[in-house]
Amino acid sequence: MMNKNLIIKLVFGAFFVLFYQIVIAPRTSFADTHADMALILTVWIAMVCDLKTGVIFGFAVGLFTGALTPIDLGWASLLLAIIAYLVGIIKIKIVIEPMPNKITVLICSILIYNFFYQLFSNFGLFIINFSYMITSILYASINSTIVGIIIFVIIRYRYILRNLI
Amino acid sequence: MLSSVIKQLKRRQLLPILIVLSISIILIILPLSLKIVVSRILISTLFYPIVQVDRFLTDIAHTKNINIELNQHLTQVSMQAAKYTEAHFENIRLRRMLNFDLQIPYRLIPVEVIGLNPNLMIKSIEINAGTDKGIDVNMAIITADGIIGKTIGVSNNSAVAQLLNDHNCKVSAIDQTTRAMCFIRGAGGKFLTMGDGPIESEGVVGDTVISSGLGGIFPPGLMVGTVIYVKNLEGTLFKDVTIKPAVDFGSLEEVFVVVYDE
Repeated sequence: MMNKNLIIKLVFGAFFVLFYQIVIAPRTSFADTHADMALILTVWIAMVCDLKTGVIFGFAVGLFTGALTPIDLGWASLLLAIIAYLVGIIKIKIVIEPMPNKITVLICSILIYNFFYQLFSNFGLFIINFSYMITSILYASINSTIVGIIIFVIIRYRYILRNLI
Repeated sequence: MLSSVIKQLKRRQLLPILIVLSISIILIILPLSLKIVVSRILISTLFYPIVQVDRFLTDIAHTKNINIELNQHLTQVSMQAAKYTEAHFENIRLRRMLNFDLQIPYRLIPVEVIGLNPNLMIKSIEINAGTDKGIDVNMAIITADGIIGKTIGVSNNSAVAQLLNDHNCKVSAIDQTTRAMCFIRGAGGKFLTMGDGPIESEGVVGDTVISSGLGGIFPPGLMVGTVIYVKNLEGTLFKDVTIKPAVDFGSLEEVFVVVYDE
């Protein structure tokens, strides 16, 4: 069973994801794409918590953020749950505690997630305009990677930052 | 050893992933109408406070833009106002040079209607101001819509006004389109008549009739009514013209008395 403290943190994290996706993301878009905070936090949770927690968190935030685009409802929750599961498996197999390893896992997750999300949810467009979709995926991935690294650094060194402030 | 641990772990933790995958697949294959219902439920409950924050921020951004636009507009209007003020003073100077008097030597006193003639056709009203406010007989009574009538009897704090639809009340008027001069008086009903309209006048239905200013009671340019019927009177030099008054005499509450400055 998860402890109460962790549940509160996860709920707070889920609300932060929703807040970011609804309020901040539309105002911080880059090349018509924005960072996917649901993915970034799911990867982080999957890295620091156990496999089940990561999967449930990914599913929940994927369900919530997917509700913003009803046509694609279900795809985000499915892919985020799979990504969380894969990250959980990788965490068991290799040591990902050092920051560079975490960032590498993050970048791979972002690329895989964006590619498959666009492939499944926009399959027709993917066939018709493959190069445009790949370009979009790359821009979105770059955007998510930059924001993800910032978020990872803030979370990782939050105590040092707090002391500095 | 490690592989067996991983296998055991997988076997134990595969259940949640299977459950969430099943739910996700069900959501994916749902019809769009049901997806919209699910989405709407989530947005109207869980997302509501966040959506409100988003709207608030959007409103602030819009307010800023509108503020900028209004400031620009205000600057333009201020410049125009300054120009018109200059033109106004220039007009006064030129009028003085040509010995023209100003055309608006009167002021308006707001009064309330406190009594109506109880006859079938309302021909007079009583107002709550008299000589105490500088009101005298033969002063025009108007509203924002046009002329109502004139005062015919004044006491210390009230006065009686004869309405325009009274046959005995005449107004010197002018057809705004043809500029034909005429007298307007009550036609015995709720309409007015231009009984002595000149036959050569080309006034037609729809023309606006305004006061001419002749007679010294009614200021020029005030709305009297609109022509609704025109008929040539055979064997005479006049036309029978019926006019609908600009003012509804049955619903008078607040009116103005025109007092000419001495």
